[in-house]
Amino acid sequence: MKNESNFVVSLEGIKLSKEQVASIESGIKKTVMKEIARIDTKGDIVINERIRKNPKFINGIFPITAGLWIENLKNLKVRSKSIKKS
Amino acid sequence: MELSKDLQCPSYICKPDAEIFGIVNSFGFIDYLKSTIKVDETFIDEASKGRAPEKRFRFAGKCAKTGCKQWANNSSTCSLVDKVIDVINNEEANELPSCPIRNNCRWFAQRKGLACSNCNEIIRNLESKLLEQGESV
Repeated sequence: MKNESNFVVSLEGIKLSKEQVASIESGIKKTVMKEIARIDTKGDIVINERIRKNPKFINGIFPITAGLWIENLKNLKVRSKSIKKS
Repeated sequence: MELSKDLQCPSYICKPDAEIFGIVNSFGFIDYLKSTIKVDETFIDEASKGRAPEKRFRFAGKCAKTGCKQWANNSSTCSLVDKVIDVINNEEANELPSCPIRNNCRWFAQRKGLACSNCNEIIRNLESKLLEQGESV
């Protein structure tokens, strides 16, 4: 279920220095970023299973669709074979 | 959308200044954010404690063009989106999901809605799993 989460912190009416405002803002941001970074639905495992069961990809023949890719493809293949052997 | 302008790669890695634009949901699809969140050191520090962030999130960053192995020099386009469409093979949906990077997305610029209809099933780090099992390109 998608959650429409909005968090608003209102400190109107309180006298705060610029440093205090910056510190609160930084603290809130850090907390939010930490919590987001912890999200792990393990949905990729679901996808892996789906690929494994897909008749299109039987016999271990998988399409490789890497993203931003800066390693030479030949090197990548050699490395993947060594991973498989070990 | 001009292909020559600076566009964003929707298959980027987790690094400072990358932008989170989607989160992998429990069904293995992408939940798109309404607006992107810039990756900072706090995020990287915390995310590195868990499984690879690329398995859990989708990141966008500046398209590296000729600096990326996915770049097709002959057509000056990203070849990855063509491979993605070919493999996933979803038809273009009538209604595209909301996406915070569409206006500046390399894949959308090249393949329009067809790219979006297939983007939802992509998790960037799957290839590491596939490579472990013996690959064929």
